[in-house]
Amino acid sequence: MPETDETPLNTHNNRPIVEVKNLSKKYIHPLGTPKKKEEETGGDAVKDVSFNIMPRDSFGFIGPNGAGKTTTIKIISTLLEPTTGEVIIDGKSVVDEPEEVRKVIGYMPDYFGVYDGMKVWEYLDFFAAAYRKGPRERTGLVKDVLEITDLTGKSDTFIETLSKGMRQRLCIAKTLLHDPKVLILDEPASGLDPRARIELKELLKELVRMGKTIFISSHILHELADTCNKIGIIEAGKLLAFGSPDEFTSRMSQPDVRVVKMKFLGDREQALNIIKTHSKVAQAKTDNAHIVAEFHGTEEELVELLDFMLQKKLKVIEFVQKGTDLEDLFLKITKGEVS
Amino acid sequence: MQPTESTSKSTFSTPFEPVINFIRKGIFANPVLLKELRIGLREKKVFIIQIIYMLVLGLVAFLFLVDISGKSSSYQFGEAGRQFFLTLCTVQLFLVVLVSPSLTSTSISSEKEKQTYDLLIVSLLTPAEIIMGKLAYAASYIFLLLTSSLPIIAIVFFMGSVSPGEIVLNYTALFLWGILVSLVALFFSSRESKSSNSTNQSYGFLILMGMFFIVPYLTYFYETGQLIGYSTEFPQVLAWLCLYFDIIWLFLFLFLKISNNLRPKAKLALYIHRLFIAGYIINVVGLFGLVIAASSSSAPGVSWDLTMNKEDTQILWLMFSMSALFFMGCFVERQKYSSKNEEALFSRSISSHPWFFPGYFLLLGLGLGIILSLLSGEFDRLAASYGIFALFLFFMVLFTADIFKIANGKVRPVFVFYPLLLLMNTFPLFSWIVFNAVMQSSSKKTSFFSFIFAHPVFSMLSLWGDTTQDEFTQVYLGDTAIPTYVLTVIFYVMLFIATRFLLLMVENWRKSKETQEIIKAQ
Repeated sequence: MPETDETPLNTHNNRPIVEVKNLSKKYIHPLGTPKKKEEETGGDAVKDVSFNIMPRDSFGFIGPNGAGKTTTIKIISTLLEPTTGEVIIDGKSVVDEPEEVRKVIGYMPDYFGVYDGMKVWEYLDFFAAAYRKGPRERTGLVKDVLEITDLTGKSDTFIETLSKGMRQRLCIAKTLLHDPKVLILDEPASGLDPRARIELKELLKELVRMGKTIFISSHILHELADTCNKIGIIEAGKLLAFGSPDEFTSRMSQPDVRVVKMKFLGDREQALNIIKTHSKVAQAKTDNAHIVAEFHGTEEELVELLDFMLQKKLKVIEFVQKGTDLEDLFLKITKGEVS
Repeated sequence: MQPTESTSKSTFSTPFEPVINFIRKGIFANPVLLKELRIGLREKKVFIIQIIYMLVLGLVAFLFLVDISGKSSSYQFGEAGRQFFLTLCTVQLFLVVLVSPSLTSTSISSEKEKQTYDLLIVSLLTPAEIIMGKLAYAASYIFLLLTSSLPIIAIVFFMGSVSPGEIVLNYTALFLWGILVSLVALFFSSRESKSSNSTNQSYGFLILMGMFFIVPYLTYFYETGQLIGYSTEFPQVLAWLCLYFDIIWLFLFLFLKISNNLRPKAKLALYIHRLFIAGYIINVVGLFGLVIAASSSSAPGVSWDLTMNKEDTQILWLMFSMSALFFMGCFVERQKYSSKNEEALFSRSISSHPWFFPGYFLLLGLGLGIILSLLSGEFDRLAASYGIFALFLFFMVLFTADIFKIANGKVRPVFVFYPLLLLMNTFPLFSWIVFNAVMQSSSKKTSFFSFIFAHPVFSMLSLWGDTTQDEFTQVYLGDTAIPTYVLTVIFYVMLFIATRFLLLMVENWRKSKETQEIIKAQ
């Protein structure tokens, strides 16, 4: 079984399905004078971004708000023209053959737009027709996508009565109508409750299993850590890092740098001052009730730190070594230029 | 499968079946139309509009019938029938023009507000399909309104003097008017990202169009009973040709412009730009031609009598008004560059320069004045051209000041409308002045200046009444010239202040509404 699954993958692997080459976008004000915000950032929404996504990848595009995620996504989905650079999807250029590209991609904007006064099946039927599906073909298609997104029971209800999570799934159902190879989802999890988030994750995993390439953006790294096999971090229009989550952790966590979280009874400031005197402690600061210290050294040396603290008569009640998770990594990579 | 299909097609149970099939196919072929119908017809608004439409028409018809029933002995019944028909058509024109923008003025901007716009654009639908779908929805609704008014208009058959052909022709004209107006509204809707903005702009434009085109159009209609007018004589033919060219051009221009707003393409934008320049030149040539033709009215083959024939005056007025609408387009639609590629394409054409059209206006005003002053052989005429020059300069300064304000983000684009309003006011008048400069052999220098400041509303009043051009001239050149002059200047200033004030009020009202919404949302 795995062999049959692998073969198409290997043949496709030679060529990335999404190629972004030196992409830049500068917003030009219609009347020639730049806005204030544009002056601050030099007007560049995206600066020289390049990356490749292979078929069946699920790519997580992460960056703080205003980093240029949506601009990049809009260029990839043919909604904006790049200032310079090129995007090639499935061998077709976004600038030269936007019509062909639209057939291959399924785009979902950051705010899922739905029409009021329309029933669920009518909404899907409309978009199926918009993707040039015949009237007979449409009924089957609508049924299929409703099943995938678990909305079959809601087929005949008005969209405005659906919950946010359901609308989200409806929007995903809409993007699946024309069986696109690449799904581009702009912040799909924003504004959803935890349950809806989990359902969304399951749905995304199901879609990857179906053989789709997924391009998903978010400003929260958590969401993508376990669904994506590739991650790109963007800030202020520049792609700062690109690779798989494992690569990131191995690259970023140096073997002898540890973060230790401690809690003491008694005066915290005094404890902090004492800890700072230890030679292996590079940095220490209070974090609410805890003290967080950056420790340079092996694990044996970490035991010495605890010993040292006990010698100084500090009442240690908590001593935890924090693993470098993706969240810290993200904060390390992005310098907080935009927020 | 094929033979069964063909047999089922050949056996129609009713004669209407092919028509129904055609309509059904047409509706299902365009998903946008189907969607608009589904959403639109579920709204209560649609039925309320229809009820109001019918009530207004019914009331007018009722009042009219009550009015003529009193004086049946002296009043000719046939004449009454004609009056009845004209009145109902006029009322319907107003209603159609008022209702149609509401069908399309929010149709694209609301998609942007609901965030469905990107979904629509990313689909395989072409811009033409989207426009046609939205327009067909408006057309179907206008059709519904017009057909529902047929029973009322049918009363005219009891009175006579109106042929069914005339009714068909006038209803076609009403229908086309509805489509044109909804296309204009669709255009504003495609430019703006806020429904309130697009509605304001469509109705703002409509008021301008109503004041300076629809009203003279209706006066013409009331004289002749034709909503689609024509002439076979020279130079009236020229006026009509220019008029129809402008209307067809407006359809084409708006269609392409909306399409480019939906999916910007550098080449299409350049094509539209060239189309605009071509239309502009044809209009200018038409105006020159008319003025020159009219100035040599004694030449053989020319039947043009503005001093006596009111219809000729009205045709001319229509043509000038339409040209004014046309020239307005260049201010409404300033070129936006969506990419470097596009900017490079445009930077090659001189006409894309921001000062091209204002400069063109200046030269045109001056050139027209000088040429005509030479043609008429009276150097006095130069005074008129300088007057035009000065006024154009004035409006250009106003206009550019506004543009700069908008560019700095201080004023919203809605404010573009007030200089436009003034421009609209003045352009037909300018042409009128130049025209008069040739027509009149009077050498009073002051007369030209009084003409310059005269407001077209005053001149339009002369069209409404039974005044001919002689009387019109009397008002502005005779003993009453100075009070009229003072009055018009006051009117002008008042209009200027009122427009500004009104727009400010609308802006403030909207802002307060927006803040209220934000507070509510929080």
